[in-house]
Amino acid sequence: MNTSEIIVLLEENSSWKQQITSSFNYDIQIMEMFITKKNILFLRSVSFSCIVIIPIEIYLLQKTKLNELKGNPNLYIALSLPNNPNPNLQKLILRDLKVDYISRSLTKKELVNEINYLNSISADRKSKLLSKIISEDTEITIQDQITIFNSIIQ
Amino acid sequence: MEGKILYLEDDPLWIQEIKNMLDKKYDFISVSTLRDAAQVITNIARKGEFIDLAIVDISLIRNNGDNQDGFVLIDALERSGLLPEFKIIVLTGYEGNIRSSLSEFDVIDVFIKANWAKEKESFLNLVNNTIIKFS
Repeated sequence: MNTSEIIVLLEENSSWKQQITSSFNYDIQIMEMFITKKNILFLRSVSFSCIVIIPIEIYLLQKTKLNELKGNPNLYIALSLPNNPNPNLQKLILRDLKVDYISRSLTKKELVNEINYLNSISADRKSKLLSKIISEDTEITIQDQITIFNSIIQ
Repeated sequence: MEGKILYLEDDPLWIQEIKNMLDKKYDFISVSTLRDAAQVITNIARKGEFIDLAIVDISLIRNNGDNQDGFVLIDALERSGLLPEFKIIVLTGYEGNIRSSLSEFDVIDVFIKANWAKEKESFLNLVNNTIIKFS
């Protein structure tokens, strides 16, 4: 298997796995893992190239831990966003991750193009694309926002 | 009432001053600790509502003279999206390099308590204009 055909989903998310798997005509290895100290250490040191998809809700709650992943140039960190993200969230992502753009709603075809693009770019360009954002069909609920808010206050 | 305003402040004199200025026109809620602020904001959000403006003191002296609870509240409001449009005004006695400390946050403006006499009117105008602009 080509090492670039690996996607790590940092949460168990069967709907995402199904969408990604069904979007490709070839086998793509999808590793689902929870954010544990052991998994973060593993990802920090991987020497093969892979795309790590982190739901925005998880990223906000575990920001410090997940920012450690940015030190590994073999990882392409992608935040999955709701279709209609809160503008505050967009601002936060632009400020924190210093990405050039944030995503729109992706159709299945666009998702394929997006991931194929990440897989195909050359090494020197990869370093410029450590952060990339794609979207998913979930909404951030008020309860999610309350959870994020209280986790910061505490 | 034209909007919901939350004021984080632990000094009763300042609470009274701002309350006198705003509570006839707005739904004015004052809280003196970070924990109380979190409770109020959570309860409002659970009803599917948001506060329209937060006025925040940075250092809550009763709790700990060097604390920066106001920064924590601003950070939490920004990151959670529970204050749409980042409508936050800082009103603080914390002079020093407060503006540069706040540069990473998207607050509307900063008022220093020592300058209150000359800035009071512009504070009130800013509150009124902010509520009108976003309501």
